[in-house]
Amino acid sequence: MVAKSSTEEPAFTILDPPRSVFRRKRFLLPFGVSAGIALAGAVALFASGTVVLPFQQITVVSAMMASKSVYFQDPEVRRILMANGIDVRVTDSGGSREIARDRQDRVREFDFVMPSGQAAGELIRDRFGGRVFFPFASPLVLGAFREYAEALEAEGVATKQENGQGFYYTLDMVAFVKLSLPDDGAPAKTWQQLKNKPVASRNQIVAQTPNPCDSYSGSAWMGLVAFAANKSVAPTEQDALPVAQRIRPVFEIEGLHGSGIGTTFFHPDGRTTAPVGVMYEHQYMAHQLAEVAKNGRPDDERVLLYPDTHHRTEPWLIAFSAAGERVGELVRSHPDLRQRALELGFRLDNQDSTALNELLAQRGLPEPVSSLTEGFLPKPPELETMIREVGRCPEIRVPI
Amino acid sequence: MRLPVLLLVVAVLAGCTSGTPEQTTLTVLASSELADLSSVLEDLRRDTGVELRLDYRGTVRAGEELAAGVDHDLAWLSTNRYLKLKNVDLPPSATTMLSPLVLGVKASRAGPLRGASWADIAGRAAAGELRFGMADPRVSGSGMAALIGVATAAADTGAALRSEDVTCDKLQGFLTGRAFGASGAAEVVDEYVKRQDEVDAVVTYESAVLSLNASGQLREPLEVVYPRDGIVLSDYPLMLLKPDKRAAYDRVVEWLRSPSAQRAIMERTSRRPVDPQVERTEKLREPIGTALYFPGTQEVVDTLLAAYDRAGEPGRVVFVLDHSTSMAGGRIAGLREAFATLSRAGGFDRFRVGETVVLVRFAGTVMEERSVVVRGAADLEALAGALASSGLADGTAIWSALDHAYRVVGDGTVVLMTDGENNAGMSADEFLAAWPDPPARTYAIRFGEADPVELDRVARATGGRVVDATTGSLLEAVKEIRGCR
Repeated sequence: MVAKSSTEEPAFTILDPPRSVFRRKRFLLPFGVSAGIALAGAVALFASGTVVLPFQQITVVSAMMASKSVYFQDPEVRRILMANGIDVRVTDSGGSREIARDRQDRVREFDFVMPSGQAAGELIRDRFGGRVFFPFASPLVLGAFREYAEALEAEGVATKQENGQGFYYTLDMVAFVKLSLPDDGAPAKTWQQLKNKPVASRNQIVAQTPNPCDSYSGSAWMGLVAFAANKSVAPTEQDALPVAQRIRPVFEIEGLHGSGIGTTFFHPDGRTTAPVGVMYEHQYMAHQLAEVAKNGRPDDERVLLYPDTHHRTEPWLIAFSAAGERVGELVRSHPDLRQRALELGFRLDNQDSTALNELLAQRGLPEPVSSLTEGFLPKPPELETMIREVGRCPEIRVPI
Repeated sequence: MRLPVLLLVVAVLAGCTSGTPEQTTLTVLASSELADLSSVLEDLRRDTGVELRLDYRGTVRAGEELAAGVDHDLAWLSTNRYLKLKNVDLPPSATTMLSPLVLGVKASRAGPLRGASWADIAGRAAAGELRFGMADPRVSGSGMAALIGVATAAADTGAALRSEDVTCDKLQGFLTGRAFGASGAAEVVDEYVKRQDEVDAVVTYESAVLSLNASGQLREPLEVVYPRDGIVLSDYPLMLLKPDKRAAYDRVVEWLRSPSAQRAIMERTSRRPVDPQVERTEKLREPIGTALYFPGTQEVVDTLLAAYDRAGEPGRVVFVLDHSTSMAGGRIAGLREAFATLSRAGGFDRFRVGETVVLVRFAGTVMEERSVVVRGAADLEALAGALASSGLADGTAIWSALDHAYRVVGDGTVVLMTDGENNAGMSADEFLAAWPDPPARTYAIRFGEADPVELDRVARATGGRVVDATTGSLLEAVKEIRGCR
């Protein structure tokens, strides 16, 4: 109306120009529509907790960890934490044991650290203190491309799990270690030398592993290999060194250890870099849950081998500040964060011990069976002795 | 009405603008081939405010500099393996993209090399049928990766190379094909463009070959050959050297790993994205076979470099071949077959261009000495047939024959093959008196009833040894000591 009258009467000059800008239909209509959309969007974003930045105090929390960074870098986890006023900035330590080594003595400058397993966790807590949270767990496993698992199965070294729909195998650790370390002192067999179902690879049979010196998974796997090679007994003070010397050739097959097998395995070129590698169950499950969400079906090229002497890794969240403790409490008890941990393939503590299996079933994925037999790792000082011998690496001070 | 509208405008604007990102510049010690990332880095600067100033080096050279001390804020190398070998404390590191080491071969020459192994490549190179450019392994990661690939495949243990696996030099056949070098992976490609009419191939990363094909600089396109028995994959870790640059580093890593940046890297540089969710272009979907296990010690790498430095040296080997009547039948047939194979298809061990092969045939006396300087296919063919009609005679004069060999060996090595015991010419004692300090490394291959005790004594005194071919094939025995110096 206003606009129309102004065109009819050019000389009509009652309107105050600054006021009119907002009242003109030409302005009001588009502005109203876009403001409405913006408002609706803002409301939606508020509701989801994504955009609360301008209105809430955000605490920046610094953290250091290795493979568990997948959790804190997950967009959903970041969103939930952000909605709770927390922005976690993760520094990659390379391997969990690198945290304990801490050459720059700066571990306590972080609000929290999160080594991938209990043995590394103990080292760090004993050296640096801190309050410990146990948010979740994940078994140590081998990821394998299907033809490699089938080769092991044909050799009687791995057995397909009954209800695993071909995705899960149980690995006979003693027999598997013998392939890399034959009793007669001969060199390890190559994949193409297997009699029943060889794989076209001239490489010797071994589970590729991150360096035991730096990484939790590498050191724990070495513990399991030692357990298998030592008649299913964890090496003691007396035999730690001789057992380590005996199993060292297993770790020399690979030469220079790669890092991040739990990531590269899932790359399209994963078969090239490490067709059979040591990793955590959560890395595989996260991949499969994502595959199902994306393609409606799991990736059937990659399978898991569960050692028949299992090791359940428990990442420790070790907090050095109030902000770190707040994250620890949230991760342990916030229902949305716990749910997200499941979606990322982690197992929850004993109260919710079947939650991951339920989620897998819900998403149409089979449920794996972990062995009931635990593969015992040597005590920390013995483990250190062995790691040093096998990996020829610098010493990490072990508190006595 | 006005106030709420204004407030809304302010609120919405406040929610939208997060301010322009803080501008900062980081210095980066970078592998030379990363010069192809300039347009990606321009986008990085636009989106994050972080400018990366790349200072180019060969990856191996960069590793040495990093081990010695740090000037740069970041390092971005094709791999951190050479750093690991130097036992350097690894800085925080994030993989950014992938590219395997390959052979880019002219399409017209690629036929016989499709699906080739390192042995096939080495064999053709040794025969002068494949001439390529390759970056200097003392400086460049691509050159070093090629040496490791060839040496690991040649050792054929199925495990990472150990020092004891590289005591014999199996690289020379492959290196015979090296027509030119360059200081880095980028430079070798430039050099290839200049010399494309003279050579057949270039050893470099898959990304470089694909980019070269797309560049319009080639008169004949290159085909990518992935050596099927040992891929070396580069994963381009971005490493944080100065901890106080952490915030900017994190921003760069996050950006580089975002799907859009990964796609840009793939489309503009033909490197493989590390993000599995990024759909790959057709050429980058090619499966690349099994990676070899990478050696775990610097010592092995140093041995390979020493072998590299010998490349192009003439090389001379004297074969002292028993032609006594006891060799009749299977043995002489085996010997002829071994020479035919080494001349035509011996892979890492075949006779190579530039090598001088001297054949000394003996029975009761030295019957013939024949020297072939290998310059090309015709000489190799001559060697293949050199023993085809050689006659046998009575007697076995091992020490006289060896004495003859020492007089013509020069700076080469001697390989003696015999099936019997000395019964003519010099005695062992006379021989040892004549040669108290033997002039050449000597290997002996024994089969049949030959008594190795004295041979072993002589061989060991020269640093050589006796290889027993009684159980296995003669060819395998010869291969075992080819390249041993």
